[in-house]
Amino acid sequence: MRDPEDLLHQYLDQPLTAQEQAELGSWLAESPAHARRFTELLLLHNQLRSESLTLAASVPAMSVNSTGGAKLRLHRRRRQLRRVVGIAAALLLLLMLFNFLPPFGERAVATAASAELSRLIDKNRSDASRSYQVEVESVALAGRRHGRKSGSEKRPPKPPMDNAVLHLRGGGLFVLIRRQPDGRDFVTGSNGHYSWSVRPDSPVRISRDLQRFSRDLPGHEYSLSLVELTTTLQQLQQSCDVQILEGGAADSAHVDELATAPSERLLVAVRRPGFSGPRRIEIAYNAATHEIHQLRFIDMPYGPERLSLRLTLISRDGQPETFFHHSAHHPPEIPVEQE
Amino acid sequence: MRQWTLAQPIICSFIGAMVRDFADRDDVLQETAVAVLESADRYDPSRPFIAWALGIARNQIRMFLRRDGQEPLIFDEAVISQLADSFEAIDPHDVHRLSFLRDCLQRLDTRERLLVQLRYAEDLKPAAIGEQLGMAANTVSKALQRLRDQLRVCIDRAAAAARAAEGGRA
Repeated sequence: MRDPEDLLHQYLDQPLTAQEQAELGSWLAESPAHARRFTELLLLHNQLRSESLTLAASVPAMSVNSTGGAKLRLHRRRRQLRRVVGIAAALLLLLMLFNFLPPFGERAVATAASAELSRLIDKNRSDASRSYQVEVESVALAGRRHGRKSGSEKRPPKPPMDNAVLHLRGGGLFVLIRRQPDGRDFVTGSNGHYSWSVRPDSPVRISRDLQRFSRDLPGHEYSLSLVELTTTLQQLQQSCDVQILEGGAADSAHVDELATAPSERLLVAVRRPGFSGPRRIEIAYNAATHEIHQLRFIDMPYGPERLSLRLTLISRDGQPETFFHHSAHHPPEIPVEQE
Repeated sequence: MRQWTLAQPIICSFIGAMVRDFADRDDVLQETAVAVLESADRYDPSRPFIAWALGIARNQIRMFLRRDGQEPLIFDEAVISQLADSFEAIDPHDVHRLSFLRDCLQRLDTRERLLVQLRYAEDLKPAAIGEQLGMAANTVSKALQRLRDQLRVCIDRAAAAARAAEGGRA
C-alpha cells in the first residue's frame, strides 16, 4: 500500500485510481484518528482556497516565468471571483432570510443572543472603573400633563445630561459630572456608603440613601440603573427580546458609529410588551473581549420627556476609589450637610 | 446566522471531501444553505447545529452526484459517517487557528506563492500547473504536498506563539 499521507494529498489534487481509492477508503475506516487527519487536511485545503482568492483579488497577477511563457489570465480569475462573490452574496441573502424566519430563526437567534448576553454580563463584572461620555441624541415630550403643575415642574431645571461624564465602578460607585449653562459643574455621586451632591454655591449634601442622588440619572424609575450596568444587563434578559448583529448591521443611522469593524458586534434589546423602560437598547462591544464600548438607550422615559441617549466609553480603570468620595470634587472649606 | 457562520468552514470542508472540484463544491454548499433554510422548522436547538447541518450536506452531496451524473461517491457510508463524526468533533479553536494561514502564506517565497495561486486561486490541476511552469505533474504534486505540510507547521507555530503570548499577558 502507498503511504497514506501521499494518498491524502493526491486525493486533494487529482483523481485516484480505483485501487488507490480503495486503499484510501480502507485506511480512513481503520481508525477515527485517520479520519481526523483527513479532516484537518481538508480544513487547510478549504482555507487555502479562500485565502488564495482573497489574495488574488488584492494583489496584481503574478507572471509565470519565461520557461512557461504564459501570463496568468486575469479575466479567468475575475470570473472565478465574481462567481465566489455571487455565491457569498446569495448565501448572505439566504442567511438574512434564515435569521428572520419563525420559528427556527427566532429560536436559534434568541438562544445565541441570550447566551451572548450572559457572556457580556460575566465579562463586564469588574471592580475596575469605567468612564463614559453621555450624549443626548434626542428629547421628546411624552404626554405632558395639563392643569396643576407637578412638583418636578416647580423645581429648577435639572442640569443637562448632554455632554455629562459618568464614572462607574463596581459596587454601585459612581460620579456624574454635568456642566451647567454657566460653565460650572454639578457633580453627584456615591462611594457605596452614602450618596452625595456637590452643587455650585451650595453646601455639599450627603445621604445614607444610596439612591438619593442617583435619581437624576434616567432609568431609576423602572429600576434600570445606569450605575449598576451588570444589573441592567441582567434585567434585559427578562424584559427584552435580544438579538446580535455582526459588524454594524442595524436599523439606525447612529449604529454605523457603534459597530463598524468586523471585530465589533451589536446586541440589540427591544422591550417586550408589559415592561417599562427604554423602547430599545443597543450595546456595542468587542466580539473577542466582550468589552462594552457604547450603549444607546432609545426612547427612555425621563420625567415628562423621552430621551435617546448614548454612553460612550472614554477610559478604563482610570479612577481610584477615592475619586468616588465627595471630597475629591470640592474645596475642603465647603460645608457638608447630611440629610 | 452566527451558528451558520461558525459552521460554514466545517460544512464546506466536509462537502469538499466528497466533491473535489471547487466550483461544484461551492454549488453544493449553496444548495445546502438553501436546504438548511427550508428545513429550519425541523431543527431542534437542543441538538448540535453542526451535526444537523452535516446531515443535510450529506443528502445534498448525494443528490448532486446523482443529478449531475458525476462520479459516484468514492467512500462508502461507513467512511462518510466516520468523516462526519470527525468534522462534528472539531474544536472551534482548530478552525480559528487557520486564521494564521494568511501570515504563513506571506512568508512563502515567490515560486511557492505562485504554486499556491495556480492551484487554489486558478483552480489548476498539477498537470496544468506543470505545463505552465515546465515541471512534471508528479513534481508539482509533491511540491504541493510539501507546501501544505510547511504551512501546517507554520500555523502550529503561530498558534503556539499566540497562546504563549496570551498566557504571558494573563
